[in-house]
Amino acid sequence: MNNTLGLPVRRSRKLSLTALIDVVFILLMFFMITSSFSQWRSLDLTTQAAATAAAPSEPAPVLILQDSGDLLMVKGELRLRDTTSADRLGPDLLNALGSEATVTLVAEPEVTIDRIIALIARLNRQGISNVSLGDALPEPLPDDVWVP
Amino acid sequence: MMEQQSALMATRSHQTDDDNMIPLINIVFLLLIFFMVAGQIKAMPDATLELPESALQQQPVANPLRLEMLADGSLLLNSQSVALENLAAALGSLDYETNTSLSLFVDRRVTAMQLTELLQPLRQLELGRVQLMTNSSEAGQS
Repeated sequence: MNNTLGLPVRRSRKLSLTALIDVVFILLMFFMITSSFSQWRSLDLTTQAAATAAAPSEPAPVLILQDSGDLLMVKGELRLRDTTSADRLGPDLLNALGSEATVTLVAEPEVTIDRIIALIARLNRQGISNVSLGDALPEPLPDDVWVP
Repeated sequence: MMEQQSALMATRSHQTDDDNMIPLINIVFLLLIFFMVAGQIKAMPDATLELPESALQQQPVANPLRLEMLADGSLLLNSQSVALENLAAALGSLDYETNTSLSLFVDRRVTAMQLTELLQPLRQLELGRVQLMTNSSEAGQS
């Protein structure tokens, strides 16, 4: 078994599959536990400095999201209540908003983030892409405000 | 003759042990490659935090600061618990540059009033932008 140099020939030992699969299992566990498949989306909240810098000459229409799901709009002298609380906005409201560049959204204090985000996404789908989130109202509005 | 046969049997049975394991390793390798390629490794918010669902389009970017607000109103800044009153001080001690942006993970059950109380101190700081993170609800849609 000696070659001409007198060194022993190294015979490659057969790799044990058990050791291999051990390592592969550990790698598999690592990637299974650390990897996530959730897709995130984000919404930019305007900071105060940016909001004042981009202040328009005429005040943007304000939307008020009520805990009941109704949506109130204030635009100059115009007051509008939208009770289409389903997955879409009422046509009157959309007409009144028109192609406004910016809309300020204000919510009653007990409205959850879930519903605010859903409304912003709905507005975005209707082409109103520039929605800025204003501070929540300090108290809920009285029930009979602007009921037609 | 008998010796030869028994030697042959021994090597055969040794080989079949490994042969049985090869399909197993095949499957495990496939799973490993799937998780390596399809999964993303990213810092997740607190396990109790449920992000709101949305159909927004904007993809988030990785921000150096992470602020989480849990359903009970408690705050975590970069996974460290912090009180609302100490938020500005805690952010100041983190030694970030001005115009650093912040990812905001807010539980879906948090109310508008709680969010407003959180955003007011953030507005005093010179943050570049504040990104409110949501889960994409478009899974399965084109």
